Amino acid sequence: MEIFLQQLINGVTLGSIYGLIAIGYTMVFGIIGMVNFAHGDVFMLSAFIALILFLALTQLLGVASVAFAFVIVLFAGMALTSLWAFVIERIAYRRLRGSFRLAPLISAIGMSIFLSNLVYVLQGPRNKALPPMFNDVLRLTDGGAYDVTLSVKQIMIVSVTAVLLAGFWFIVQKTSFGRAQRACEQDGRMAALLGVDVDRTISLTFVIGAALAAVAGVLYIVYYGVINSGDGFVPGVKAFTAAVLGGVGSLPGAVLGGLLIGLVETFWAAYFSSDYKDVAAFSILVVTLIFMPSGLFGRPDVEKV
Amino acid sequence: MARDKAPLLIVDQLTMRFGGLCAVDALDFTARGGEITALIGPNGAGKTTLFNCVTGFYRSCAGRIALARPDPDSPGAFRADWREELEELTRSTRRSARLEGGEIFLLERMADFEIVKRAGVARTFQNIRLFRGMTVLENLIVAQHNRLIGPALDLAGRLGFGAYRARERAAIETARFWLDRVGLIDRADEAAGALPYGAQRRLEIARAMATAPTLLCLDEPAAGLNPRESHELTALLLSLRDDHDVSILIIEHDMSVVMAISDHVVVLDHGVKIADGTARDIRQDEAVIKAYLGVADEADIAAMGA
Repeated sequence: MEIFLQQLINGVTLGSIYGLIAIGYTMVFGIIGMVNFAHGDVFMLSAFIALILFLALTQLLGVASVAFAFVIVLFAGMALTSLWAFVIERIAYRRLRGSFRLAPLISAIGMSIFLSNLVYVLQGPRNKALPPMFNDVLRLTDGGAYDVTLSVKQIMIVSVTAVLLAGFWFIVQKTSFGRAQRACEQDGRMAALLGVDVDRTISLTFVIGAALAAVAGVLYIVYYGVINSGDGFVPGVKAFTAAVLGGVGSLPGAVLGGLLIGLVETFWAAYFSSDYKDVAAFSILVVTLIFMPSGLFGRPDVEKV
Repeated sequence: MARDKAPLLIVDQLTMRFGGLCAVDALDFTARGGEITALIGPNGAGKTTLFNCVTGFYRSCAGRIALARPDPDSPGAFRADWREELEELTRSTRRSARLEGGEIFLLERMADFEIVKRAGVARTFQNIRLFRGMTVLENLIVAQHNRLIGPALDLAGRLGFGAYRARERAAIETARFWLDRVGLIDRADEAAGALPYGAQRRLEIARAMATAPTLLCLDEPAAGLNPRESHELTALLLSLRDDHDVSILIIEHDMSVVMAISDHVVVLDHGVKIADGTARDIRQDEAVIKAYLGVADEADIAAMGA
């Protein structure tokens, strides 16, 4: 029972991070039908940006309050990562939009390799670490075989995720940009014929997806404390799995998919084998694609004749 | 027939090729402001291709598509003849030129969304293209996107605060007005994809009108409608022209609709214009009859007469 509760907490924390990344995949796929393979590396890049900003603020500028530094890093990280995503979309994807279907996909793979190698060259091959922060832990049960703990980090991760998702949901549902975004997703050319600037809407979609991935990156570096230039790939593919599980194109699906993948992974690691936790996560990808290709919330393509 | 109205859309030597196929071949015609211009012709004549060029869906291979947009506040102030200014604009590399009382545009130099936003051209499709997953009302609000987002620096507005609220109210007002006009006000909150076919057609027209166009391009709006519905459509189109100051370019196969509403008919066949005139002229035009009935040669006609 204690193990179950503890893994539930851990799984939801990890799942929040996956969910934030998954939204970027699902939104981009929804609007231009492309799997943005570089998205995982944008996430990794944002974790490095967060790491550098944290160190700069706390060690160079001598900011004493870690919480204050965290808030600055969060917003500055979102802004810088969004800028990266904006430039990537301009350089590597926009010109290929009218081209054959595989072209932007290949370009995205190239961009993924470019980003991880760029960080490798600039930051070196070894793990970079952040001094531990927010180390307080709440003890939820006492006296059993095992103490169930909830760390301040975990509370932060889940609450930051929840607040951002609420804000994001508001943008998509209630603002003019959100409406244009949904219109482009359903029929981009028609949206253009109603005066919606589709290119700009797509740019903004990349920017918002990257901003959420940046939040995931900041939370990831705070949670785990280390990051490596190769660390974009596996979380990226897992978030992609989450997007597929939730139904590609569905925003609630991406979040739920992220949580499920996080839970499956942590429970698998606890009850079976932590060596095989990735196998469990990716088996979900295979099973979903075979038995439920449109995912949990996906819209099956039904043509009314 | 008042033929002294100012030209609104001037198509000059427009050519569109797809590989070896010439869908539209050096086409010239003029549509006048305040009129309903019908484009007719057999299947494959190039009518929809022409629409696609006008609305920026296709980039034409050669030729010029010019459009005038009189300012909505002072419709009388715009000059009747802007050919000279058009020549000047064509020589420049600009996309549009300001004239007294209005603006003229070269559509082939503009991106698709700009053609709607700046030049005021709206269109509907032969196969209906609504945002099926959105509500009826939302479909009309997306059409007012540019008015809703407001000035580029209005960041609060972009996020849905401040002056955005007032603009949103105005957009909902406009949407409700058009829904009322096409008789869909009671279904405003239903998903657009769930409406019956005839209602979807009307919604598409309402959505196009919500962009506040100068020129409304309708691609077979009567297709699949029953006689009562197509009668209502005729009344709606005439009222758009007379009460809402919109000029209409319409592709239609239903000749009863074409004859009832058109001020001017252009007939295409194999990408070439074969006739151009009032509905009455066209009905008696030999080339048109030949194109529609497919009479092959003189001998056949002689045989028919004998």
